[in-house]
Amino acid sequence: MSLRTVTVEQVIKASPARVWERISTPEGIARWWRPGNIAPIEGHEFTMDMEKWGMIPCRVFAVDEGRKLAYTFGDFELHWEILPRGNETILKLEHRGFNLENPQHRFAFENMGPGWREVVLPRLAEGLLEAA
Amino acid sequence: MINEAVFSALANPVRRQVVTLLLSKERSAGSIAEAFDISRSAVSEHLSILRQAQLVQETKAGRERIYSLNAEPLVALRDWLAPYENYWKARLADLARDLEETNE
Repeated sequence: MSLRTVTVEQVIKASPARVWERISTPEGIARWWRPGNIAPIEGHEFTMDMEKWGMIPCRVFAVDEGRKLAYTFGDFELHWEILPRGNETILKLEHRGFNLENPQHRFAFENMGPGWREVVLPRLAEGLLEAA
Repeated sequence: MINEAVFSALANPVRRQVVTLLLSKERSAGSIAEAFDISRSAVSEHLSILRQAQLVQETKAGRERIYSLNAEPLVALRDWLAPYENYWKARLADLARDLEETNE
């Protein structure tokens, strides 16, 4: 089985400690993501309230205080890493576990290049909705 | 729910290009084949897979086979799509904005 990862990095003009608070506490994550009773403690189990996708069970399995946090997120894993760079902080997220054997995962992962995903599909669907 | 055949059909770059071609207007099998550097029979195989996934429909006009897009699976596809990377980019941008605005 071949599993793939989506990686996103964000530069933030704030200290690593402040970024850590935003990714590892319920108050922090609720400000920019969704509510969930997260805690940076290995073995901690919590749920993320993902609205239409439902309540997603999560379990923390790796913590390096202030630097790294990893937890399961449904069938996936989210790996967070905080890298100081001068006055800024780089926040790196790896969303792991896309199964390329699964047609839906595979499609989402490798066939959704920017042109197709951002331009063609919306246009397609709009045009077709009008025509339907 | 979206039929897995739709995902499999669109997992191929040629078939995605065919769908894109048909976006502007319906086309004959011959005119679709002209747009590609592959054999006519290969194009015809791709069209058949798209048809089985109900992404396109075929009508006959004289001796020509005319292909056009079928709205339903594509609309369902758009609704299903969870563009993960963009989702996370947007969330992390929100996070950065929030922290930068509340910088003391």
